[in-house]
Amino acid sequence: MPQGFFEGVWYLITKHWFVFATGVFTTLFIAISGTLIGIILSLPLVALRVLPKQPMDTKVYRFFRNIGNGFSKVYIQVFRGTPMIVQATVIYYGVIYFAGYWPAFIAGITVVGLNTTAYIAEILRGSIQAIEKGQSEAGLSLGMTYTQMMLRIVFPQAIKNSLPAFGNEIIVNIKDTAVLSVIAVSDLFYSSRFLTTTYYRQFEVYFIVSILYLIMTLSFSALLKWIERKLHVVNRVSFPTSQTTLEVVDVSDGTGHH
Amino acid sequence: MAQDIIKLENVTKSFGKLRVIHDITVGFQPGQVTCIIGPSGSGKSTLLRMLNLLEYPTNGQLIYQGKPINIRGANTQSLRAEVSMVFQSFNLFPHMDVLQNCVMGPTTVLKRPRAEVTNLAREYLKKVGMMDFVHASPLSLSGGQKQRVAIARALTMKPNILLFDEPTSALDPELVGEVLSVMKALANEGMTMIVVTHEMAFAKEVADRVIFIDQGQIIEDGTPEQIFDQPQHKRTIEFLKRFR
Repeated sequence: MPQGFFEGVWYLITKHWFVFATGVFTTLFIAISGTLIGIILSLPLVALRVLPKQPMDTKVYRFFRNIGNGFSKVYIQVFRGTPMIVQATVIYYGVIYFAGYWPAFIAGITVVGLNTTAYIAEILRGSIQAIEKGQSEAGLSLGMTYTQMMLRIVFPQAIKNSLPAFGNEIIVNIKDTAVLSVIAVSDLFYSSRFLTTTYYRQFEVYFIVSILYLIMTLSFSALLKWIERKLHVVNRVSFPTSQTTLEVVDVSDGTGHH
Repeated sequence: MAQDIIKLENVTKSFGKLRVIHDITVGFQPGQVTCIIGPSGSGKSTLLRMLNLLEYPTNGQLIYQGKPINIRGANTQSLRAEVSMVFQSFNLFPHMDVLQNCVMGPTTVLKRPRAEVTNLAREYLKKVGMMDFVHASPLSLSGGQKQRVAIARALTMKPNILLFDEPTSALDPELVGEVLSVMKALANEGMTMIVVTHEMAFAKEVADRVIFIDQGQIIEDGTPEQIFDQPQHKRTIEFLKRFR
């Protein structure tokens, strides 16, 4: 291996590009699938959190609502209140202890998914609470049941308002998968590490790794901005053919972006 | 006199310790336009919202078409489907276009076929003068336009009773007229309407009956002539003075 920083970097990239490429792929795969799992699981979790309280509720309903509510609350507190590196070890070795061996890669996706569930549930809860009360009243006053009203009126708006935050979660997860190296998941960080033990050129290796993380996060953030803009365009006003003057409304309002 | 289509019987409503409605009994006749007037905080909106159970009475009963409504049962929903509400702040669904706003209720709640409901919605949107805006987003509309769409949305449910909760209070003064004229047209067609309003001229011209509420009680109840020209109670006189 040649002496000198740039020569060393160049050597590592050309000779071991495959190590970096598989690392990048693994990191992206875990981050994206983990976030998707988080989005899907957060929906029932947040639904438990926003079950209605009404004067005519039966005792049985009240009992189950409190259990659901409590579970949701505790889940969110536990996963947001402990470091993901600790969650990774507890879940990975916990499953091994009770059920036997499972692949670290699957464990990695599980940990990221369960962790993201808690964060996204909290984001969604905020978005749901931010929807004006008039929206749910309008739904109910049409004769909708609480469930119909939530599914058709409140959730669609809350989810749309949360999309930028979902995007942020993907970016956070791209970075945070690095902690999965503690259970030997071969993400970018972990798989590059063996190069340092081969060449003893830690700085060059980690320099490349950090640049690769930066490229991933920056390109994702650009991609998400583009998607957001696209989504707003879909929602943008279709101007009707009429003599009436329309107010120009900034439809990007309410998402806190732009 | 015809039977009351909807009636509150000995109804009290408290929010925590605050009692906003004191033992009110009041019924409404089909085909009549009733305007409820009174100072802010008098309980008039609460009274209106109890008529489609957006607020539940603390005590007393709601009787619809001769039958008491059991708030524990599923007939809360069927009541609301027949007693529609138009809100002060419009409450249009911003994630749907104007037409979808109107179609949503009848298709999900009444399970009526989409094509039929769409035609009905177009008809009502035409009636309120919003035909050119069927595919516009509610976000692009003026207040008056939003409220007219909200009225069309309520009408598409084919309700038996239309409730209006200060429908023009959030509008710029120059936009009030277009909403009131739609309401006037509905009144002339015999729609049963109960309107909480501060538009005294509208109440005088359109209402069959005017109810004055203060501090959670009905103070006076009569024809517009009785209330506006010969108010009996001191509080009514004082309240109306501010609108002269």
